[in-house]
Amino acid sequence: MIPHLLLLVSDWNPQFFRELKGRLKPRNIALTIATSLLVQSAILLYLWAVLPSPTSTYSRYCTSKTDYLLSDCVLDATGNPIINWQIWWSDLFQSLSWLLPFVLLIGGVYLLIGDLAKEERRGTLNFIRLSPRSSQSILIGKLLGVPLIPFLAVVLAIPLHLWSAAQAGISAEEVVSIYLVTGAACCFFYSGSIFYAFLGGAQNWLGAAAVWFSYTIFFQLWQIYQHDSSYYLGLKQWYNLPIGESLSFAVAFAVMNFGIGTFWIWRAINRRFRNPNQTLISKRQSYAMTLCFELLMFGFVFREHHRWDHPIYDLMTMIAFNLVWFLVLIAALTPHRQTLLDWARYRRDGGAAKAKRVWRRSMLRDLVWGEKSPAIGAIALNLFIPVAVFTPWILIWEGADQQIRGFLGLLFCMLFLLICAAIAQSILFMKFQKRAIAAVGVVGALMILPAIAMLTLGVHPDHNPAAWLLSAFAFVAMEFASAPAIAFSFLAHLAIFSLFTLRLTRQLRRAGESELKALMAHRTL
Amino acid sequence: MVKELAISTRGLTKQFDRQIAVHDVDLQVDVGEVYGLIGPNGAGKTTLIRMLATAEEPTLGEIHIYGDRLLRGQDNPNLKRQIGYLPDDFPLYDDLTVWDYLDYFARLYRLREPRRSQRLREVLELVQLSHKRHSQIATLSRGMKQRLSLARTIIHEPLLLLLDEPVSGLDPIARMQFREIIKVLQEAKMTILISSHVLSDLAELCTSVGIMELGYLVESASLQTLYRRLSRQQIILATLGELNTLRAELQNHPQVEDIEVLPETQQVKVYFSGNPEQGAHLLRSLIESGIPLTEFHPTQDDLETIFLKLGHQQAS
Repeated sequence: MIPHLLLLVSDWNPQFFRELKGRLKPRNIALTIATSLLVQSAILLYLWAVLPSPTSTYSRYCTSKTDYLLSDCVLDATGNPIINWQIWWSDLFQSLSWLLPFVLLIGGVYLLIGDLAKEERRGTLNFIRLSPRSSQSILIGKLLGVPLIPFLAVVLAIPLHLWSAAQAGISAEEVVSIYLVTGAACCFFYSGSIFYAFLGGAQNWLGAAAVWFSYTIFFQLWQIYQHDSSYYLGLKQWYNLPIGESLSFAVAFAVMNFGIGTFWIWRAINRRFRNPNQTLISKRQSYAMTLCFELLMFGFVFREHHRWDHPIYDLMTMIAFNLVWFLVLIAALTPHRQTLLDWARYRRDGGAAKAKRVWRRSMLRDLVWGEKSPAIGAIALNLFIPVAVFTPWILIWEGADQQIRGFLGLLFCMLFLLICAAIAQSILFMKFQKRAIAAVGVVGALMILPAIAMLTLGVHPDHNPAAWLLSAFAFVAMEFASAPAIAFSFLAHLAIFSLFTLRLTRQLRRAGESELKALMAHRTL
Repeated sequence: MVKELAISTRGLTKQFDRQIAVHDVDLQVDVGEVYGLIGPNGAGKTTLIRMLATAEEPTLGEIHIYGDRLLRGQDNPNLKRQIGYLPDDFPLYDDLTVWDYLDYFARLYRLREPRRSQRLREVLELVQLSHKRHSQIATLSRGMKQRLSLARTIIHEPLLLLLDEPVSGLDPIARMQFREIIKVLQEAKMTILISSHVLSDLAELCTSVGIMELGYLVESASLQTLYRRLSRQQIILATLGELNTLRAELQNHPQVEDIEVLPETQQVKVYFSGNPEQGAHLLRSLIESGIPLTEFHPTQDDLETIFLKLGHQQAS
């Protein structure tokens, strides 16, 4: 039976079979089984150790006289406390419910980034690329095969997890929802790790740390909202749909979002796998992705508001999330030096006479749709999407002041991001190793460091709004800034952007010159 | 009848930064040929081969393999099934055994049982690694690894084989083994494009040769045409008697263009423009005139001499 199954698997996906053979070696299997059982035993032992003893007066696991959580223990005839086993099993279930996804996510992400970075470094990925198998088949093989060890460790703990759920009286709906969300999260984070590896990231510890960080935040959110039985994770309404009011809604919402995210990342990694010289996403894809992202964010605006809840705070949150979104978008969309050189030099050779006749229009089209053209045009168009989505909403706000603040906040954020895009493109056009890391570092630092520095030095937006106007978080200073300060910093933004764009345009013009022209001018790029 | 082309490129260009690695190359290789690509280091051979193997994207130009246009950014599964590519650095998975490695690639190329195992045995036998089938790749010698890579390249019976410097770094015996394998593949009607610095190997294997320099394909012709055009026929003669008598007798024959005495030997090199019959006549007349000949050895310029004659410089 098993050999027959293996044969089927091997013919269905040789990449998965290769990972299976490479990873499930007797030593690895023995170690995984031992570790998994050891951890399960450790949790059981710990929970066993905290059970109340005959001398305990208070314990979480006591059957109590009152409804309070920690209360006097009821003793049986022999003087031993009567244990509330349902809570005990429930705690075991909760611990495993948090631990299992954590192991899957952190282990999988760590292994996937490491594996792909190693294959890229050795050059073996190229051979797989040259095989007639589709990129989907290879990448599915990697996604399912590389994290086999964490899979095995978790699968071994599932019987205990299910047993504890049964003993604690947890509903099947809740148990299934945990598996569903974990599965969806794994799809999302695993494709995300391939995305990161294809972006040039080789540091698997960084990926694991990022997952750790996100998971901790998620855990904290859960802890905060766990007693608020009416909402899951503080999710209330999304486009006025009560997504937080029932478990099925919350799970459906989470799975849908992970699903959409995975879909776009999947398209990007397939594209990059087929041609490693391309940008991770095409300009066409970027517009659709940004629209999806903005519509997702925008949905949270439509909910019941408290009286003190002004929509400008929603806008600020969305602008902050947009900063992160566009940082990723700039990294995925900005072409590297060679692509730009080819574009500048040979752009007109491909399109023949037709392109020459409508040159200007064709140039614009190239900047908006083209595969190899600089990304600034496309980033600008992407930035227009949140403006287009949020404008009608801002226009219906009460109070002209707030509307102006909202618009200005949005405008400054867009300008700042355009500057970031121009800087990233300029760095990626330079001629030195590790350009990508430098670009991400510079743009990331530009976004975060000024704000951190100002907060550390006590420069707060209410006292020194002008300084904040020049940072990524200009929107927080709009309330306190004077009109001249806003005008000045707007002009400063424009000037910086123009400077970088002009410089890049000049460089691209030079790059587009023929070799003879460059030789005659004794120029090198 | 129009000959079918295994490879046809039009205006193929690749630029790295401002350096043009391959410049406007129109390469045509007939089906069944063994095409040798020669040229100094940095001439663009590897880049050209990488583009043909779909491992590199051309800056400009078109590539047709067996009439099908190669399109970047797409999977091109049918086209990839026809190509076998062996790069000069041949990276391998050290953690796998020889059999598992080939089995993995056979599966990637959609070979199914029982054909897969049969093919694996065939290629292992061809590259003389049957006895190493259960060995870890990490334990193989460089020559064995190179042969294993070749086995991987031909596992799916490609129609076109692209070999980039396949014998570089190999000792003479390993080189000879490699040469023999290529001959077998040639007999199996594979079209082979091979780049190498070892011109004597190419002369033995190739039917056509292309010379690349500074990214240009400066020469592309069949080996016969090249020899006919550029190689001078020579005859090495040795005598027990006086060299001057031999010399005087040789000068009576109009096909003898030039005579060169090889220093410190009793040999002369004769540049001969006649056909084989005229060569036989020369030998007969020398014997009849009583010259004690001990050697009469017709030969011609080798590929390396032709290459240098064309004004190119071979780097190694």
